[in-house]
Amino acid sequence: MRSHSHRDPWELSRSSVAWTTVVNASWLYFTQCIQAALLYRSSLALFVVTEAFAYAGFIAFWYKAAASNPNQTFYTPLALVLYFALASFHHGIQHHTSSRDIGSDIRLGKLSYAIIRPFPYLLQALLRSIAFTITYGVLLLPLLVIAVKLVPGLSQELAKGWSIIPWWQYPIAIVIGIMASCLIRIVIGLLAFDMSQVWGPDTLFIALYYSASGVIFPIDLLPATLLAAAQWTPMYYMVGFPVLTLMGRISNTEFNEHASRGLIVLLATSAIVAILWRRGIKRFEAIGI
Amino acid sequence: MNELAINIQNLEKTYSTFKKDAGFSGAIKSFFVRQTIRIPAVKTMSFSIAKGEFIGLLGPNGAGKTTLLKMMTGLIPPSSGSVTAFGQFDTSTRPPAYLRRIGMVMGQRNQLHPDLPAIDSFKLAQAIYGIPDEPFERRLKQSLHLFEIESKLNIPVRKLSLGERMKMELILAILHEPELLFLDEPTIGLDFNAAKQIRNFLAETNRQFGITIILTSHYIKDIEELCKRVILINEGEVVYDGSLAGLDVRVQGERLFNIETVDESSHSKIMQWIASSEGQVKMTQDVSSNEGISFAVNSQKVGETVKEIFQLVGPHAIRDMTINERSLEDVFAEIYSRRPGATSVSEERD
Repeated sequence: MRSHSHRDPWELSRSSVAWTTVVNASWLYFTQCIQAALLYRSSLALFVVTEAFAYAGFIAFWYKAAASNPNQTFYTPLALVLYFALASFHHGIQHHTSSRDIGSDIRLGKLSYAIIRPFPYLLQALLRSIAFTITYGVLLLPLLVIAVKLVPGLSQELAKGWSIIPWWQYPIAIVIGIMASCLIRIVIGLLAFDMSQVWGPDTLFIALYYSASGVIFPIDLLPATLLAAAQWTPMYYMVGFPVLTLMGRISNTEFNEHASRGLIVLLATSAIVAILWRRGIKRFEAIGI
Repeated sequence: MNELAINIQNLEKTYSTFKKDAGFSGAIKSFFVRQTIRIPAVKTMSFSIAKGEFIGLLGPNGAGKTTLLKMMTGLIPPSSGSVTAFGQFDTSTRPPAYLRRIGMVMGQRNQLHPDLPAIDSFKLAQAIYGIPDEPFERRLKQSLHLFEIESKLNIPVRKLSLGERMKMELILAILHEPELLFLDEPTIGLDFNAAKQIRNFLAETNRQFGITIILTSHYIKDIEELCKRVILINEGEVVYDGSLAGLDVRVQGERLFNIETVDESSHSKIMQWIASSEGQVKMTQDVSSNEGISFAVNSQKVGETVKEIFQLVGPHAIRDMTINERSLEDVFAEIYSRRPGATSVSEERD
């Protein structure tokens, strides 16, 4: 019998978890999530087609609405079209399902395996969300480009916004947006901690998402008080913040303020994730699905 | 004394769940008021497992095997008592150093990514456990060869058969060379050949690398071929802890009679004779009609028993009579049917 104390040299490092190991495993897991998503070609194609219809519907509706009211100057019809082209894109790229994934992980026993492996489960959930976001981003970017090319004057409208904002503002806004989206969806998954019970928190999330994100109406049309309240929710950062930034509708001072507030919201949401994880894992351990 | 892989002291686990009355009214009632009940899944267990042992954890459905296995891995914490691994780890806290030394396979759960080929899950395990290329490649090659599934390495897991998938699951579980391997019904639903290959693989893994293996299974073949020690659990308690050979002696020491009589009066006479035998003859099946009577007697008394029965009812009253060795299944069934603690069947262990 071979003695365990004389096995391969790599075993010497068993008692500690090296950060390089976590980084390597995270990168590999992240790329594998993208690979897995790309295997479902027909689902992805259907998703793109559905999103294209949503783009067209939103843009046509709001263009008509703005054009029928020539007295308002807050949004020109062209600005509204741009807003919804960008909002649809940001909505689409965050269309992943990490909340339900956590539920299915529990049902299928994946969580059992995950929590007895030296690789943090919540990191996996986060990586999976980001991987899906990027996958959908790559798929939907051509739709956005087509919309901008097809609608006369839209590319100039976009360029107008770009000329106002410093180039680094949008990457910050989109990273805050993606992180807010990932964390809030993980919160939903952890609130239920079970796929069959996720619909309740998910419905609540959808209601808040529609009211506070700016996905179905331009978020800065909200009265000031409601807008200030929305800016303390993760939903605002999912769509409204990056879109308004890209359109140059937020001044530099406002951007710094919103970005700082966004970071506070992210920290608060992370704390909620940690609390819910501890609560959920206790519940999971009590029944041991 | 061997070093211990697992030491369990006064372990208990109680679940809370709720009852719901049948039907729609029950659902409405349960929506507002729930009657919580506590179910003791494991009741005060204490035993230890030495390094390198191959243990069979047996028991009927709901006996507490999987709960026990989950507490040993650290998946669920005990209600009271402790599980200490390798003399230093409290498993309920799931210390990373412990997790790196264990592996687990659950026959009805998947660890492999279903959409990707198994090689991707293997590579991820290599990255998670920090396994260098050389030992990783060597162990993977050996395992694939042993299972004869080299050609399936690059096929998405969801396209593999159940047997192939389970083989891949086992390979995944041992790639990081765990010192302790937990297997929860790994051969469930597999055909004869696949189950046999898995048994060979486990025997070889245990023999060659000295991995401690704890196996739950309902298949006697798994236990007979692999486990030198078995722990029988019923209603959350250990009802037998000893060698399989010890059980085998009990089995081999008895013969099972099956008798069919031609009439009711002969049947009754035999039943009365069994009742008056003062435990020398043990009923193994409760039969109230004249269709058949099953009982076990000491193998030394087979001739004497046949003679007594013929004298009692005469040879023409017997329609059919068979005498067989008792199978392990029969013995397990008999032990399971006893109330835990009512009869001590534990074998003294060192």
